[in-house]
Amino acid sequence: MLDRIGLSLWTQQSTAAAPASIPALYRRLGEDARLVESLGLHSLWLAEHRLWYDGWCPAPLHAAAAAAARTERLRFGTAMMLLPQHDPAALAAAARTFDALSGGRLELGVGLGYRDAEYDALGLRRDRRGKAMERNLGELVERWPAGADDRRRPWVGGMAPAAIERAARHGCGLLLPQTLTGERLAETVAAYRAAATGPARVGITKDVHVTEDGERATAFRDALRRHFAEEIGSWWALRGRLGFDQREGLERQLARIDECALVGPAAAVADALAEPLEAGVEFLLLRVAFDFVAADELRDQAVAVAERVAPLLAGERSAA
Amino acid sequence: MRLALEPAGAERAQPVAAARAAWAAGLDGVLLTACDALPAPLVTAAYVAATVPDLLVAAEVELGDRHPLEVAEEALTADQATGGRLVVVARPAAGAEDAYDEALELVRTAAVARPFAFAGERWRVPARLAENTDAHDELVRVMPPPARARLELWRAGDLPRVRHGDPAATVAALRAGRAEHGWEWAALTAPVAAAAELGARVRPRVQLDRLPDGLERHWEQTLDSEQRSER
Repeated sequence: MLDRIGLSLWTQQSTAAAPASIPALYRRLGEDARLVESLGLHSLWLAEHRLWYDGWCPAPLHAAAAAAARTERLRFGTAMMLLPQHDPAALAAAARTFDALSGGRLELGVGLGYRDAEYDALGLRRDRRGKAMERNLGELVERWPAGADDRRRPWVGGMAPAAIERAARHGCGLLLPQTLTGERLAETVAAYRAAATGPARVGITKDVHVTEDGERATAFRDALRRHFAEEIGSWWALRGRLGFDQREGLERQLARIDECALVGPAAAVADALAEPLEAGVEFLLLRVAFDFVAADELRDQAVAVAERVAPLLAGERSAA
Repeated sequence: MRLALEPAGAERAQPVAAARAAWAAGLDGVLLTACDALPAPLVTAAYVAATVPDLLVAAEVELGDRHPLEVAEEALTADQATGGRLVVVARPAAGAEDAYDEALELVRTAAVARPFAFAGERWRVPARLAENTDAHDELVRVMPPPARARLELWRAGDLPRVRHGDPAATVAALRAGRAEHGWEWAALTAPVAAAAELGARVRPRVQLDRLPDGLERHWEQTLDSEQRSER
């Protein structure tokens, strides 16, 4: 089971809630990668955003390259790189370079991004991001290393019909968001599998915190809520109004994130992960890394996932 | 004078070996350029720096074709990933020479730790497109900041290259460059196997304005002959 679990999400943020030395965050990425590798987990995932006060990493492959040099087997993913915001030839060159240096350890995930400010800084129209995605993904897949294992093709992130169709058509994996659950999850996986021609990998991301302590669970949920209130409040805009100015919509989103977060004892987390596994999801991207999760706590979480949650999943699988 | 080793030909695809050899030889840096196997030198730089301590890692980066903001972000991230040991060496991208100066100016502006706006002939940051209705920023701030006080962003001429063949000829070329153009740095294009010779025979001869004849003779009679016999 360990080879089907990745940990996320290294963003290199130094926020108001959790200030940190940015050089130390980059140094720690290599140390964290060594630990995650030693636990036998599949991969470590970074993310991309740009032009934000907290230093969110805009070039995850460049950050991951240093950590790849310090590891031997661990794979490195992006969830997501904002493909429409990149020159596809340059991104393909970066991906090829990373892949060659690391011995084929790249799991490139691509998504749309949604902030007008990011598109505008780069001279791009956000309302054309779908078309740009289509064009850039085509070019990226075309430039993908010849002879690369099909299972190493890029992941496409999202759950909209367009994302599913696009992933299937380009022979890419599908990486689903943490808020997709229940029947909709099963339907989405089925729709993708029906449309896919290639290897058809399906993964899902889940916000996770393993703790037997009820107070710690509550503290984590509070911090998670504050974290996403900042992100959604500042970044999600609808008809000219920011998330902070749309209290109701913001609260709805926060409630949904809270509902979907898996916070509690290892057995409870493992129980909840049975849903995506039964729906046919084969890869679990467990988000244990947040700005507010301190370095030593993050190490404990990685160990808890590998040594306490994963064995329960494996047991469930063999029993099934 | 400070010296970087630049691997050439097929050895460009073995940058870790080049960096280790440069460090072991007491050189100051390694210069990485794009090759077919490793077409993104800033990614290579981040990887290589993690495999050797101390060494400055210079990466030759083409400017003028893609958006300079993207290049600035990659350079700043690679600077953090190398622990502040990155030197970006800019050169014009093929076919984009006309846009080079503006691209360099934009990267230089973007790499400074404060909000900015840029209005050039080719690029405008932020673009302030009417269609991006939820973009309201007049100035943008690129992140992350440089790992040290500033990002090292050089023009190709700041890191002149000397093709190394014979140590005496390389020493002569470096001395001439220093005397005529004030060279502070140079990249020596050389086989990785020549790194030891660059560290032992070239580097000591180009630090001072002149050395007493007796010292050079001493080196020749002791160290240099010893090195030759080791081959």
